[in-house]
Amino acid sequence: MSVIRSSQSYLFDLIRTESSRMGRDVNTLKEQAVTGRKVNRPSDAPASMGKIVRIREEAANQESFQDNANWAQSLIGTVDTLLGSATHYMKRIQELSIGMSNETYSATDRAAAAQEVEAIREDLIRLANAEVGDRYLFAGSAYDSPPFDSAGTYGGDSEAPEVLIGSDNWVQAGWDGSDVFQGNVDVFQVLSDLSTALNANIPGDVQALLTDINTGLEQTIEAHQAVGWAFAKTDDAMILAENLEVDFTKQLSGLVDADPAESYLRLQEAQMAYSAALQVAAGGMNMGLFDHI
Amino acid sequence: MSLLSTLNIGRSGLQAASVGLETVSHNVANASTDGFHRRSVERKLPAGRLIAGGATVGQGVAISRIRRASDELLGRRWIEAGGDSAKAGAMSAGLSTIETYFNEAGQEGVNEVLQNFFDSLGRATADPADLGHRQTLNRAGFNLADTVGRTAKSIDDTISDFEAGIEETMYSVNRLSADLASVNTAINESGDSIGVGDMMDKRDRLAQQIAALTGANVSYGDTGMVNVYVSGHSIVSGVESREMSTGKDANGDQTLLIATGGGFVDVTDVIGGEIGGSKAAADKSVAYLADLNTFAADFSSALNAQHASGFDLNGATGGDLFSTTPGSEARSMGFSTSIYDDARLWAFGATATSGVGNDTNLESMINLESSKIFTGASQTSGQFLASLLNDVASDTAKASTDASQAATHSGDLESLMKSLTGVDLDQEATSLIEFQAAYQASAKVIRAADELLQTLMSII
Repeated sequence: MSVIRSSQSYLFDLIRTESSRMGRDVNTLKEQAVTGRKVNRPSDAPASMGKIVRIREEAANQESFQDNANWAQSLIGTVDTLLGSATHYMKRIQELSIGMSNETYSATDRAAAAQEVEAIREDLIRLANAEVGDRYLFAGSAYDSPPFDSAGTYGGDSEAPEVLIGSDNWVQAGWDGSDVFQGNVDVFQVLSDLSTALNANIPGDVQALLTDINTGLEQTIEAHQAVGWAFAKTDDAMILAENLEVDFTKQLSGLVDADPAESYLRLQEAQMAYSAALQVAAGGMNMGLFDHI
Repeated sequence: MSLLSTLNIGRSGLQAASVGLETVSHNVANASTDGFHRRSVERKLPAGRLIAGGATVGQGVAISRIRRASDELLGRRWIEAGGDSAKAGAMSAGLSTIETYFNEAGQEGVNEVLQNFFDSLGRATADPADLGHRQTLNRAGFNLADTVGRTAKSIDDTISDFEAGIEETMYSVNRLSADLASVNTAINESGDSIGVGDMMDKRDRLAQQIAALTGANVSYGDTGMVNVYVSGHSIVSGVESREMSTGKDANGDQTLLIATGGGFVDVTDVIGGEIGGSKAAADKSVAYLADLNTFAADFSSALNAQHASGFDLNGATGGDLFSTTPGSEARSMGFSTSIYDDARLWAFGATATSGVGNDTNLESMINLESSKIFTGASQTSGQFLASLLNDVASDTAKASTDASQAATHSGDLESLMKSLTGVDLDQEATSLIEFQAAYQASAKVIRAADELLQTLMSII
């Protein structure tokens, strides 16, 4: 624009509009420096707003996936320990029954063995009724009450509750006790039969139970292995969620956060320009022919 | 005779110089008066006196008129640019207000609470029977309904504010139009008299104000009267002005009308200026609100339907999670008080006899996060809200850019206008010296003539 005459109102208008524009720039930069963000309202980044919302959503999801995986892992870890003990018990039962099926043992030996079997059976039922917090681990989804009674009858359901530990990634965090302990063979029934046979002092009956006992041991080992696999899955999920969270946070920061050094320098620059402009304007206002007549 | 004539010529010079000084003083006094146009004195030569021998001797100077600096073409462009700038500015200011209700940067906006809701559903899978998880869900559900409701209410209220603002602005327009018509009348009647310049300043200021409010165009008539049109419809025509008013259309939206002789002309869609800007911001807000209503209605019915196919911890089917009132779904969105009071009523189970940890229906509810139930089954609820936010963000950003461009353009024209018609103090100082000198010189001429007369008298 070419200015023909520098009239009074033109000059003041120019100073007014230019200084207010520069003042606004300084304020915007101040806001960025103070908040540490270059996006302080949606219109600051209209093109990337959808992306920002989506990334924020993903980042928040990762946090809850981690929490869930952590919780599932604590349940799975407990079950892992419990099934380890169960395997140990079943091995002892196998040892005991192989020994006791031998004719060389006396009735007293078998009665003592029967007592040990009975104790192990009680331990196994207690173990099958284990809980974390108020949650019974081997009750399927009916985990608000103990799944087994003292006779070894199952009262839970046949479901396997799962926990969400990643995008469409679920891990089992509850077990159907009737499958774990009574699937191929009812361990509690076998132990009860074993104790009866030992008390009756009939080695043949004890021997007849050996196949079932083996099956029971295998069934326990299999369940234990499956749990180990679930444990590893939660580990992977946690690492993935952690990495993704870091990644998303980094992406988000790139979109939203202002570089502190850059915003400080730009603020300095704008402030200097602003104060220089004000000084020039104030100086210019003092000049005029009227001062000289 | 010629000595007396010299006295007269001197007097005319004195008079011209003193009118010049008056004009300079007037200019200096009004150097910062808004809308003031610089005045200058135009002089002319009166008819000369014929002397013996046929020659003509000049008879001094006369004031022909006080000229008011102006440029009608530039003035018209400036007035119109002012209307465009006011429109863009009002729209930008309006949308900036609306934008704050989508408080996403502060992370408390509708997108955020929707995420939280689905996030809480996902967390509940850790232990669907746990009352803590269920209560967290209650809070997330309540927060979602509450935030959608509050956002909608704020937008709704702001639309009402826009409409009320437009109505008030219209009163101003009517007052200004009436003022302009009477100034036009005065200019028409005063012809080329001395005070007409001041009336023209007033006329231009009024026309400019009306244009800033309505985006009107102006045209100058022969006698110095200004006519004002809103998109071709006259609101000030010479000494007549027409009233503007508001009405309601079939949808209950505000309409903007100009009274004509027999009825009304609807200028709702063509009006500019501050009113047009507020109207445009209101229209955008109505569209955002409609989107929020769609979200509230469809999201609630999808969630409610899914919840109803599950069973709660008491073995009963799930009741409605969210409630909405048709017509104002978003604003009325609420979360079930019975579920809020008793978290056992969240229906996650597959059947009435499912175990407490059964999360079949919870899983189905989580799957709603990724199911495309919006915009003709092409968007998820999150995508729908994100695209609404994108609309708000890009509309606001564009309005802000438009506003600063329009302001720059109008500012440039204003500068040019002020540069042409404003008061340059240095120039006035020069004129002051010039007129002062002319005055002194004319006074000397009078004294010289007087002395000549005295000399002549003393001879007698």
